[in-house]
Order: sequence, then structure tokens, then C-alpha cells
Amino acid sequence: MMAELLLITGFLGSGKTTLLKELIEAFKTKKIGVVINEFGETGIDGRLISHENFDLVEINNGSVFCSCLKDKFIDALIEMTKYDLDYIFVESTGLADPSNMDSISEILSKQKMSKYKYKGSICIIDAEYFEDLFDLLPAIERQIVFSELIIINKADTRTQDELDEISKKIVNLNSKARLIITTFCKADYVALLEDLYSAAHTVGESINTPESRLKTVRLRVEENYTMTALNQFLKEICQYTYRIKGFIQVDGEVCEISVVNCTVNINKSDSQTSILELVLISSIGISILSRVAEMWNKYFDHTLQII
Amino acid sequence: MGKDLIIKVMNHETIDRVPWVPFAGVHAGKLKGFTAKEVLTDGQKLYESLLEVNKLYKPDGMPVVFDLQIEAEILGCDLLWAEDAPPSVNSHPLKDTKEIPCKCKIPEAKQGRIPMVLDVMKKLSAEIGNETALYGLICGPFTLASHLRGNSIFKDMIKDAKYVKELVEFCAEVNIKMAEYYIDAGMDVIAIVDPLVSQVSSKHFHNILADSFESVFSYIRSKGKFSSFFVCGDATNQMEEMCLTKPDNISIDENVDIVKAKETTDKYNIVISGNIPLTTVMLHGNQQDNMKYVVDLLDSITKDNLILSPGCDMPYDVPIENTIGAAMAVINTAETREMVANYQAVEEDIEVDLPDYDHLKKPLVEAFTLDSATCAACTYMWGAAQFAKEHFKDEIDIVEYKYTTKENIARCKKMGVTNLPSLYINGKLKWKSIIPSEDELFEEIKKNMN
Repeated sequence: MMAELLLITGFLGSGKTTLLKELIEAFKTKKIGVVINEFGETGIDGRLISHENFDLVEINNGSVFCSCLKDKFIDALIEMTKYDLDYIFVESTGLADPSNMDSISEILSKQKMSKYKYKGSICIIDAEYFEDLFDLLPAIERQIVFSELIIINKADTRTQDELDEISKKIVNLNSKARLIITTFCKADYVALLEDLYSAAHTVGESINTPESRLKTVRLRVEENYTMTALNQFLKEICQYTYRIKGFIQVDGEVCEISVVNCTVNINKSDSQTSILELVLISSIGISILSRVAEMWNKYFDHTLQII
Repeated sequence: MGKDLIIKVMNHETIDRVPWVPFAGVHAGKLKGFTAKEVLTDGQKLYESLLEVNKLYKPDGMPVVFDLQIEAEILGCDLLWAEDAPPSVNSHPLKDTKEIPCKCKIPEAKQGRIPMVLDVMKKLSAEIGNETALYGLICGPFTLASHLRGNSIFKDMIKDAKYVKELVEFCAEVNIKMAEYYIDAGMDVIAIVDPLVSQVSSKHFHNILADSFESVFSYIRSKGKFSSFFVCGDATNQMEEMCLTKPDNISIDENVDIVKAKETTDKYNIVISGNIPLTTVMLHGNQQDNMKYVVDLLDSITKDNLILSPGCDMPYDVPIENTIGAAMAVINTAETREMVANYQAVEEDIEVDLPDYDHLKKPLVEAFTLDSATCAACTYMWGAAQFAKEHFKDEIDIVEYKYTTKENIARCKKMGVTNLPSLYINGKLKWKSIIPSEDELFEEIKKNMN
């Protein structure tokens, strides 16, 4: 049986993990493999969905499309051939550039990896911050250009006129792709994927060169923190990050933290995790370490532990 | 115990005496009859040599290995080995290509000489780590960036500061990885050794380099260890900026007036280390010179927030009795003060002939250095002269005077050279500590052409 390979791209916080959960639900009668590519060395996303019944291969340390990690990505796919899967979903990092996916497919076929068929790429757009991020990050444009399905997510954060503007901009870049507008990535994916076509793209050298990788900082947070101090810390440090994720004990309860563009979400966690860590993805390179140290000492008495 | 003294001074507590940290890098090998290359490549020889340092020099803290080329070698620089000095870098992988290396190139613990170093660190930590504070030394981000890019980095700083900042950030990530390995191997203090910092303006330091240094020190502190910022050369104007990067300790050499520098470091509550002159006192002086120097230094400076140490990595051939004398003076200052009370240093009179600068046939570029093979700043100063020679060929003459011989020390004295490295053209001082960019140097040489 030939497994269909589907790539999910989108900037950090746009809803890739939510989409993955939707896809798993939609195809629950099928055998699914998932490759999650995290920037942080711990797979926070991996844990969020780890109670589901599927095989998970994580690729850490950077984007699967990063030239230095291409081999690992292919190794992960080779590993998955053991499981006789119907679908493989690849959730990539927020900065992944899919334009060399075709050449990766080529490598796979040369290595007699005929068990896979590249079905295409789904790109999720964060409607809330589209304009800001689009100007900032060239990878987003490439994600749009090389996708077969584009989801404008978080539609509830914008007016219809604004959504129309965003759609227009996207269609200008890629008129062949199917475009849908969602909230929480809700859509009928069985139908959508049915006629998803793999357009013949020009094979481009990925702009996702190693040096464009982000600086990720992991903090060990094993103490108990007060909601007030944590909130203040996150609100202040967030201006230097693209994304903050993780699990932390707040006022005696384990909470899941998610911060995108300084929107702080702290929710009680039902995940059975025992690893209490925060992962910060820096928007200021390595200087994030100094800023974290400064803010940490301002709000907490516990010793800062960078992993 | 000596280690307690280091911990107390770093925590700004009151202590009975000033701690003593001899920077015996390749010099450690001399104590056991091993060459510099042997102690930097053979773990067993390095280990035996360091135990000897611990025994003979009674240090409160000591470095395990002093070689700023370990990381550069892994990142693709060719090394030129010497028997009596650390190796120097003689090729730069980014010389002709303005790239930032892939982060996948950040050295792994199994690469190059790192396994040997980690093994010695672990053994030493088990053997003497309770009584002596161990220093893990890492090549600082700016010097490492210069190793990778070569002399062009000084031009880049003016014309493409963004590139230099990114390259230095990459090197800071290398520092952080190395710090992680060394801390795991039992090091108490992580020293970021960046001699080249003294060779750029404080404005450049602030704009291009400071963030990376601060990040590295923040990381070390978050691991519960002490951080140290080693600089060589005349860093007088950088002291304030260096303090702002928040290390626990700053270490300087004889090019900086330690009494004045301490006023700055005290303002920021940072411990200062220094600064017995490496060549004039440690290498070419006698035991009494060393004892007297240390006593005089201790008598002229406040004792809190202070560590007594050589200015930088000790030359291989420092007479063993000189270091013993210095150690004695730190540990038993009162007794030593009595011993050297009536001592007058012997001045040797060596005649040197200076060129007839007014009647030269072509421009003469003279580099006065500590030693271009061992001091990174000197390597790049001499490198600038060599680059000019490649460009102008027979139209100019260049010469290096290393401060390692008595003749050259006498020449420096006669010329009035106050800082090393310095670059002179036709007998006139043009650059003191600051390394010129090729444009500046070429222009100055052209002015001196007939």
C-alpha cells in the first residue's frame, strides 16, 4: 500500500497542532503516521497529542527542510515504512520552507521509497497577525506559493473586509491552491483532501538555510509559580519572542502555557506530563538569554535554570 | 581551602587574603618536561602537568587548558603548532566567503580535542576539585569570529556590522555549548577569553559585541557557576562596557592600570584579576622581581573583589622559581615584604640600533608584539602588516619585534613603545592596540611613499 504524504506548514501559533488533531479525528479509521518537527529539543507538540493512537517520529533541532536535516527527515520516513500506513502527516516548524519538497520526493523515489506519494502541502495562515508576519518572514510567502490548500485560520479575530484583503493577497501569490477560511481549523478534511492535487511546481532551492533557524531557549520550571508573577514575566518577555510554549505549575496546578505575539494563554492542563519546561522561540537571536535572565530575576526568587 | 577563597571572593564576601590563580597553560608542561604541543594534545601528559602546577604553585584556582584554538580547529581553521607556545590559526574558512556557519557545525562533545579536555577536567575535578577551583577556558566569540573570518573582520566591522554581529552571535552559541560541556565536566568558573576585544573601539564593542557576551554570561550564571571575562591588551577604554555585560570577574593584563580599572569594576561590584607582567617580570625577571612586584601591587590596591594572577597565559619558559616567588608573595605577603624590602631590580643595558627613519628608501612597517604566535591580538596586528606586504610587495618592508627577547624589550624601550601590539610606520606610532582596517593601513603606507 502506498502512504500519502501531506505537509502542514504555517507560522508558529497559527494552528498547526490544532489542524493535526482535526486531521487525526477526520481520518480516525485510517492508519496514520505523524512526523513532528520541533525547534525546541523537547517535543511539546508531541506531548500535547501523545495520547492519540498513532506513531510519532519527532525531528528536533530545526526544520525538516533545513539542508542539514534533510537526511534525518528521510530517515524518519524510511522508519515509517515499517508500519504500512495510509497517511503520513508532517507538521513542520513555523519557518519551514516547502519549496524543496518536490526535490525531497525525488530523493525518496530514487531511494526506492515508492511507498510514499506526496499529496501536497497545507499552509495555515494566522489571520490575526498575517500582515505583520508576512512582511517580516520570507518563508511565509514561500509556504503560500508552494501549497495546495491554504487555510486562513483564526477568522474570528478579523472583520470580513479584512479577511477579503488577506485572501486577495494570497490568491495573487498562488491562484491554483484551494483557499478556505476557518476558526479553530474546523473543516471537512476528508472531502478537502479527496481532490487535493499536487501541482507541478518548479523545484526551488529552499531559502530555509541553516542560519535562518531560530534560537530556542528551554527553561526548567520545576518550582511552583504564582499566577501574577508568571503573567507579568510572560507579558514582558514575550516582546522578544515569536512563541512561548510549555507546562508549568501555577498556584499548585500544572498549566499549559501558550504565548503568540504577546497573547498569553495559561490553561489548566489535562495532559499527563511530568516534564515542567518552558520553550521560548526568540525573535532577537541569542540576546534572548540576557533578557530572560533580567526578567526572571525581576519576577521570581527561584534560580533561573536554562537547559 | 583555596577553592573556598575563590567562591567567597566571587560572592563578594570578606576574606583573609587575596586569592591566587596562576594561568599556567602550556607552561604547565614545562614542569614535567613536556612540550606545549604534548600537553595540548595528550590528556595524560596534561593531567600530570596540572597536578604538578597544583603542587608547586599552590593555586586557589587554576585553568585546565589554555588554548584559544580548540573551537577554531573544529570549525575548520588550520593550526600551526609550536613546541613552546599554543598553536596559532593560519587559515580562515570564511576568508573569501561571507557566510554564517550552519548551527549544525557547533562543536559536539566528541569532536576535535574536546574529549581529551573533558576527560582531563573530570579526572582533575575528582582529584583536586574539592580544594582548588577549576577554570574552563573558552575562546571568546569575537576572537573566534576573527579566527573564522581572518583580518577582514576589522573591515567588516566598519562596512558590514550586521554580518559581524551575526557571526559573533554564532560564536556565542559555540561558547554556550562549550560552557555546557565544561560545567558538566566539573568546572567551577567558566572564562570567556577574548583578547581581541581590546583591539576595537568601545563603540564597536557596545554596538556589535556586547549582546553576545552578556548572553553567554547570563547562561553561565543560570547554571550556578561563575563567569569570567579575560581580555589581553590595552582594554582601558573597554572596562566600563565590559562591566555592563555582567560577568562575575574580569581579568586583565599589564597593559591596563589595575588600580584605576578596579575603581570601575568596584563600581559594578565585579571581581578583577591581574596583572603580573608576563614578559618583563615573569619571563625575564628573577624571583625577587616577581615577589617585589606582587607585594607592591598588593600594597597599592584595595583587597576586596580582587584575585592576583598573571596578566594572561604564562609563557612556556617562565622560570619555575619566579612563579613560586609570586605565589609566596600572595600567600605570605607580610613575610615576603620583609624579604624584598631592600631589593633593587637589576637594569640590563643592551644596545640596539634604530633604523635611520628619515632616510629610508621605502616605507618601513614595524609591528611590536608580545608574540604573534601566541597572542591573538598580536597575530592580527602582524597579519595586517603581512597583508600590506602581499599587496605592496617590494615597495615596502615589514618587520615584527616580539617582546620575548631582551634585545626587543630594549628596542621597545628605546622607541618608547607603551602598548603591545603597536604598529609603527617609518618610526612613528600609527596604531596602538587598535588593529587598522586594510583601507586605513594602505592609505597611511601610501602617504609615506616617495
